[in-house]
Amino acid sequence: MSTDIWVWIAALLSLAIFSYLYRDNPFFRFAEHLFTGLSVGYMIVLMWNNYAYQYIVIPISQHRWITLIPMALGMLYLFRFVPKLQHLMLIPIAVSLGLWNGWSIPVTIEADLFKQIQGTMVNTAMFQNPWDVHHGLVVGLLVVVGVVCTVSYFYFSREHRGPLKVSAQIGIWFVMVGFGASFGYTVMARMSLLIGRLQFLFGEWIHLIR
Amino acid sequence: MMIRLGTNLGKLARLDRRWIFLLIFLATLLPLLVSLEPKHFIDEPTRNLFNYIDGIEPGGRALMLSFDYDPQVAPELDPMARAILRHCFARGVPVIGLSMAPQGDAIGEAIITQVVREQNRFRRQRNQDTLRYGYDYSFFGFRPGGSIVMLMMGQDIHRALPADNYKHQVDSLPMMARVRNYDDISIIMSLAGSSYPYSWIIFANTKFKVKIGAGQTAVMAPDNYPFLQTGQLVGQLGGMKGAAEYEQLIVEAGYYPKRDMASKAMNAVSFSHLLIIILIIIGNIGYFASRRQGGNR
Repeated sequence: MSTDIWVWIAALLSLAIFSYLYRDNPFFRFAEHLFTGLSVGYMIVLMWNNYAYQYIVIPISQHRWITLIPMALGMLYLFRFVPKLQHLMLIPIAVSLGLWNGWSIPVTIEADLFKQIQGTMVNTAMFQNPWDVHHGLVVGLLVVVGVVCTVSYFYFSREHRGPLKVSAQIGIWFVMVGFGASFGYTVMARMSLLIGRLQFLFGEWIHLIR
Repeated sequence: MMIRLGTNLGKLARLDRRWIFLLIFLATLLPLLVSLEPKHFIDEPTRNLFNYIDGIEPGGRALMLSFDYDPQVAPELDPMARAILRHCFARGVPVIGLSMAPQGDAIGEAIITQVVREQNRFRRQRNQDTLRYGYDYSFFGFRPGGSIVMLMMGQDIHRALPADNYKHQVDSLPMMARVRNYDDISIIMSLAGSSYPYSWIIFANTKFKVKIGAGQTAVMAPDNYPFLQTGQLVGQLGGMKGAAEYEQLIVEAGYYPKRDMASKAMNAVSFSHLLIIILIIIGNIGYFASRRQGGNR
């Protein structure tokens, strides 16, 4: 068994959290509240060290007075607590929105739309090795059919009849396969978290797993 | 006969869920106690990532490793971080660590410290120079601001990261003298349980053309396949399986002596999945049997 006090604390807290699987109890409540308190304390220290100190204190100590402008803008958020002046809070919100849209819209369109449309097209390289499971023609055609049919399922401006109905029904199968893959991955993720804790409890704590 | 079986399975559907928790616990723990390490089929995204990192010139452009995750997903992502760091340090690739997630700060520091200590032990045994902070690796901790920091680093990393995690000014770190912006970064590896790799693609790859690799929790991994197909991501490690594959690759290439936690965990993943499949089948049979019984009445 481990002789490290911190390993013991972590192990006992893990067991306290696991105890909820049986039923709600004071040990679980204690661990839950401790976690909340610790997280808040951690965030405050982190925000001071990595944010306020580096982006406000250092620049001002170096007489970079321009820092005061965004700082003043940010402080306008505090007018949220002054009912008569709370409209001033809209100024930093407007600046943030404008900035965010300005820098994200062009790159998002490029990365999400143009590149993805390009990736859906069948290209000449696919003919070189049609049966390649990653970049072959067959997979390329499957991607095209999948995209067109799935998009057609979400086309609600016309009643799904005739060819549109067939296409939409094929589309829903593609969507279901996607959900299945996501579910499989999700199960693996949740099991991995349990495995991580068991490796800690039976490895680092009681040394049963080598 | 079938109806009786259906009735029994129908009862199973009403089983106290704590019995299922116990079964899952046993199906996960027992394989962990047996130290089997089956060989894995390596997925293409994992191999592509390994090949890319393996092609980085030793002592050349740095790899930026971003610990964009919190402790709740650490079991999946910690093994990836260790495997990538071992690969880089064994090859002499400089590493710049940072985090876009608040709690990734402490995780990143702990993992880098652990791997550096272990690599230095190997190096001393072989009479090689040990890894030195500021020369071979550096760590900048949590960077609040997300996309702003990603954009700012494309213009000037020294302005975006004015001081490291230990409050040393960036200009005082010798390895950072050759790193001005993304042109001096070989690849950004984002390890995340959320959509941080997507942000890196949008703000770093699309705008500045720097290569991006992802290490994602299994929940998030399927979301990245469109970006793998278009080449916006060089490669990806998906969940515990991706970590186990990378561990296998670095061992096969001779960069590390033995496989680690993720490889050992894969048996437990397989057995627990098998149990869940069986439970799903039983649950469905029970459901349909009880429905048919209801209809007969």
